[in-house]
Amino acid sequence: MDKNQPLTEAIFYILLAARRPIHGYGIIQEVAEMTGGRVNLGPGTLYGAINTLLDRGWLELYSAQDYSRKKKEYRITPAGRAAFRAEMDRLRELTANGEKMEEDGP
Amino acid sequence: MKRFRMYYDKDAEEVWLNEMCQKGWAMTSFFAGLYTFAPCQPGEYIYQIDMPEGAGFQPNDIEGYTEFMEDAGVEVVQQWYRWVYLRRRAAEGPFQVYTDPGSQIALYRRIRRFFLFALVLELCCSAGVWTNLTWDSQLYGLYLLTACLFLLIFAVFLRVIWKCSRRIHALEAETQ
Repeated sequence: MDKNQPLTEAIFYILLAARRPIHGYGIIQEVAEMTGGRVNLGPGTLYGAINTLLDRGWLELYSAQDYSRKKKEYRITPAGRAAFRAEMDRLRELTANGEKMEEDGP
Repeated sequence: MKRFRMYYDKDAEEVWLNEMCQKGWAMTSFFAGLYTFAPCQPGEYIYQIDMPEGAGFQPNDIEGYTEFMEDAGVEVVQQWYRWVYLRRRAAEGPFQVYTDPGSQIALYRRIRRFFLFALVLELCCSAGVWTNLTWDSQLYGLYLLTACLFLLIFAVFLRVIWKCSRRIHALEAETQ
């Protein structure tokens, strides 16, 4: 993944689901729910994406209680939010331009 | 029940494990080609085989990987060098480890890189045989047999690398 490329659908939804602290399985469930079952993240796809996002500093590990043997939770970082906002701007431009198809069409 | 099989194509191996499960036999362990099965409800599990990120013969952070999978409701049945056998109850819905072309391409690249590494290692190991393969040696027959075995393994590894490249190209074509 290139930093300046459009986000993949998986990355987009993982960042969105991590706006609140959330564990891996929670991300899979929330993304499936948000998309009406259209986007089902495989655990391998999710694991790879989370590691990439942690390395890049777009996600961070979040743990409320350090000593409890609890599922690992992840949360978006300010850099992750900035990347998400940039993607939203790109998508808004895309849909705004897309409207021209109907406006100026025959 | 035990079965001995030599698979070098993980997709074909997956198909076989899922067929066995349909017949009521769930794979529980693997060791050097020897698969152990335990009775199960026909089709109780869906099996998937993964090669997580890693270096050489071992995956990176297998504890972290296992913890992640188990938190996501996936059972790590067996780890064998870089390979990991996973399963999930079929009742929980379809189970696929990699769901987008990007991560599928990355998987086949890892498999290809691993077999390239194995190929180079195999060539280095076989060097001694090639240099000793002369007519006047008393052990000519033995050397020839070993040389044939090395060639066979070489051909198998080359085939896996070729198959991975074909799948990568097909997946790349899908994303364009």
